[in-house]
Amino acid sequence: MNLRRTMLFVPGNDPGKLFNAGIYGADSIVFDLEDAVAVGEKDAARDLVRNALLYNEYPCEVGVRINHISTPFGHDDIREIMRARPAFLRVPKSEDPADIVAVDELMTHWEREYGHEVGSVKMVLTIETALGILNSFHLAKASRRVVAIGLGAEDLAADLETNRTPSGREILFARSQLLLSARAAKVQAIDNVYADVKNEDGFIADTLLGKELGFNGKSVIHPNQVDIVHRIYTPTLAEVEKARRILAAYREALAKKSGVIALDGKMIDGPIVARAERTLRYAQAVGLVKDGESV
Amino acid sequence: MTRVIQCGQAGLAEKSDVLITIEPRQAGEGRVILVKSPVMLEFGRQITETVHAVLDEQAIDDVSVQVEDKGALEFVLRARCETALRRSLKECDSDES
Repeated sequence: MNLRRTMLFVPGNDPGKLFNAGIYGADSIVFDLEDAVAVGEKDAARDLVRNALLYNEYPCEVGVRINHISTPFGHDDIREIMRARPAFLRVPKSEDPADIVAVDELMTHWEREYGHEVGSVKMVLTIETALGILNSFHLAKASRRVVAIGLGAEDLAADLETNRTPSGREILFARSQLLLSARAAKVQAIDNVYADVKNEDGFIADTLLGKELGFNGKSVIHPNQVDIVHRIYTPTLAEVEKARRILAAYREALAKKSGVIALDGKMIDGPIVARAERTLRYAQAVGLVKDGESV
Repeated sequence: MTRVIQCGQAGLAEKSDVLITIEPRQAGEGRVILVKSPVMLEFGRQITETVHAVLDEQAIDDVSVQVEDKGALEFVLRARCETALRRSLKECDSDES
C-alpha cells in the first residue's frame, strides 16, 4: 500500500523550506511551482526544485506541482523537472482528459530523452473546476500514470460562484463525486487543503469528514497539520484488534465450511471482511502491524 | 556561440539563499568570481568551484560573477547560478559575438 495520508505542499522558491521539507513526517511532499511562486520567479523556482531533487535525499516520495500546460510555464516545468525524475507530477486544473494525455506524452518524451524508464513518473491530478469534477472519472482514466486525484477547494468554490466556509458544505457534493470517481477508476483520492491554518478545530472536523467519506489522505499546507491528519487516518489499536478478530472468525468459518459467520452476535459478510483486511493493510503500512505478522 | 550579453541576477541575499549577479566582460578577459560569505573560510573554495562548474557546463568564459551568500547549500547555489546565467544569456550567431 502506498501511503498518502498527507501531501505536504512546499513553496518551490524557498531554499530553506525545500531543504527541510522531509523532517515533518509527511507521507508525501509536493514542491509547488504553481500558486506559491510569483510569475517573475517561475524560472528560478524550477531550477531550485530540480536541484533540490537531484542533490537532497528525502525520507518520503516527492512530487512537483507544475503549472498548467496552457500557461507559458507548463512545458518548461515538465522538461526541467523530468530530468530529476520526481515520484510524480501534480497536475493543476485538470479538466479536460485531452490535457492529461498531452502531459503524459510530454512526460514520455522526456523520460526517453533522459534515459528514465517510461511510465516511472506518476501523475496526481488536482481537480478544481466544475467541469473537472464532472469529468473526474475520465480524467483519472486518461493516463496509466494517474495514481491519485485530489480536490482543489479554493478554486472550485470560486468556479461554483460561492465562498469557502468553515463547514465546507459548499464542496460536499464535489468531494463525494471525486471520491466516487477515484474508487471507480481504482486510484487514490486526496482530500482538499484546509487553508485556515490557525483554526485547528475546523481543520480536525474537515479532516474527519474527509476520512468518513473515504479519502486516502489530505493535502496540507502547514507542517503542524501533518500529525493531526496522521492521527485521524491511522487505525486505532482497538480497530486493528477488531479487524484481527473478524478475520480470525472468517478463517475459522471457512475451515469449518460454515455458511454463516458471526462475531459478538453480529453477522460477518464480505464487505466487513474486506474492511477488516483494509484496516490491517493500513496498519501494516504505518507500522502498527509488522510485515509478515499474521493478520 | 553563446555569450553573456547583459546583467543577470537570481536569488536573494537572505538566510539560506544566495544572490548571484552575472555581468559580461570583454572577449578574452576571462572569469572573475567575487564571493562574500559568512562561511568564506570553510566553504569559499567550494562555492567558487560550483560557480565554475555551472559556467563550464554552459561554456561561458568572459564574465564577472558576484556571489552574496547567506548560508546557501550546494543545491541552492547551483540553482541560483543556473538561473542568473540563463537570464543573462542570449543565443548569438558567431559573427555577432
